[in-house]
Amino acid sequence: MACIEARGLRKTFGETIALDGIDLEVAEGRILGLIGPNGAGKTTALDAILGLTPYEGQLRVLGRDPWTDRDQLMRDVSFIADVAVLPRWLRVSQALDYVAGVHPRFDRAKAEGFLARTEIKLKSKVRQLSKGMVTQLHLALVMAIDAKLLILDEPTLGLDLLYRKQFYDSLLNDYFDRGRTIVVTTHQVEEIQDVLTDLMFIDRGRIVLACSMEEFETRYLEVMVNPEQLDAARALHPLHERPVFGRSVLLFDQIEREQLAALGEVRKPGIADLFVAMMSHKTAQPEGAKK
Amino acid sequence: MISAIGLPHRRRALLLLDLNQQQATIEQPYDAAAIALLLTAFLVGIFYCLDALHGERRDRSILFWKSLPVSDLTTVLSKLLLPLAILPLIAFAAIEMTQLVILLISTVVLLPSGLAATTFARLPFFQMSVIQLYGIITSVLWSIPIYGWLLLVSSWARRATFLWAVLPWLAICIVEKLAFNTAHFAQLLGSRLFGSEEVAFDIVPQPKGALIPMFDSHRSPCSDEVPKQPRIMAGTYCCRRVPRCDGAVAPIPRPAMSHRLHSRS
Repeated sequence: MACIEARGLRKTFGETIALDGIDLEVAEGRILGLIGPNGAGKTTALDAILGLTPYEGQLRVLGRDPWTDRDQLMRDVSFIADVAVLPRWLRVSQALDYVAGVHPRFDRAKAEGFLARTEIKLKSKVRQLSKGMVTQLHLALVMAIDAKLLILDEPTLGLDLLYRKQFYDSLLNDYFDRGRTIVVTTHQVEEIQDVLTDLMFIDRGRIVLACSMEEFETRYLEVMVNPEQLDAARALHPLHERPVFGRSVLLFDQIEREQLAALGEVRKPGIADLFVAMMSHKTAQPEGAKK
Repeated sequence: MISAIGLPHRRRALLLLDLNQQQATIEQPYDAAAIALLLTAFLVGIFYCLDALHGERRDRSILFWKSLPVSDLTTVLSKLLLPLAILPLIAFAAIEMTQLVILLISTVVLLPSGLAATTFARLPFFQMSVIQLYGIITSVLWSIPIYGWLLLVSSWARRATFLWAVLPWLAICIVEKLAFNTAHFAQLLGSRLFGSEEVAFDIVPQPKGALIPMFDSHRSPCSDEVPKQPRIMAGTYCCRRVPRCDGAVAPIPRPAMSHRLHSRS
């Protein structure tokens, strides 16, 4: 059974179309990165999946309708939203008490174990903690829940480099196993590149790319081309071209590695490179009409 | 405290009046304390309800609460627990304590003049407490629709919850006044806000001097009105909380205002 299944998922806010009928399928045990520019519809999609907003179209999360079954669904789904949302008046120990009280799959000892590794004291109130510590606390709570699906919406926003690294490390080492599914959105694409199993680009409410990381690595290649070979390279219809120190880096989709090696130095693109290529490619056409 | 200075003198004058008036006058400070405390509890409840859901949406902690397997109905009912159970209990305890303090002070003041016993003779304390408890319970039941409405506003309004809670009703009153030159709606509102005791007690003509008409122990609960109270409970007050900045109006059934205008003659 697919963990998340959407058909024609659509959501509008007045005139604005946040989700323009997207189809989506996330299998169990995957780590999906949902990448898109601001206002692309990522958060709206996640809200729909989490039962926080009504929607049009079909959507099943772990076999349930999230809007009508949210409270039942939350036994199997955890999420951390883009900013620290723990209530500021709450004590750490109260947070543990509350989650332990309402969540049947919460392992309090495990959460306390995670917290013991941090500087967080059980007596502290959330407002006394630094932003990084609040995220650590939230992560400790969430990782102690035996959930099937974990959704992270910009979980590391505003955290320093050290915390961000720690965050994904503990997520992978202490939490993830093949039985769980994780969906993560972030603007810090580079730091999740090695974490993901699947990749999805979303722009203006539509999915513009959906592939597994293996597919991504075999399909896309970047070549550093000297000016004299530029015309030959352009003939192969690169997705994107950018100048780097007097030479050009061209990004290709589904062109043989040997063919490209003749033109220059071939390397694997980062997700960020492909993202920039696809987004600037997309915005290039309607720009004249709009602005 | 200040009023206690002339108490022995006033008490002597009072003993010349008839029994009912004596009792009403002696009760006055006790009633005043009770009403002040109840009004405070009512105000606290109002502002708590206005902020209960709105505050969570404002600081986005709603996203944390909603990430746990607790239904919206449970959440809203738990918010109602404060104005419907916790505040009334605290108010009752505070009223009893305050009245005890008033009693102590007046006894100490009256002791030298030998009039202290008149307080105990005229004031039926146990009966007073029972009636106060009854009054609190009925006023809480009576005000459930108010709290329901406030929670609805709290779950829906993006800002200025107080204005959203008050202005629509005010507007209806003004429109009615301008269009028909009547004030039925204002009356209805007034009765909903402060009319619980009219429904809960048989109001007898006020003895002169009893300025505060609440909780007089010589009123009796009226038997034909009381059983109707549970009807107020029948409405469901489930507010489906609105996520993030979604402008959608939450499908909350507005508790129907009791159409029971004072049917009594």
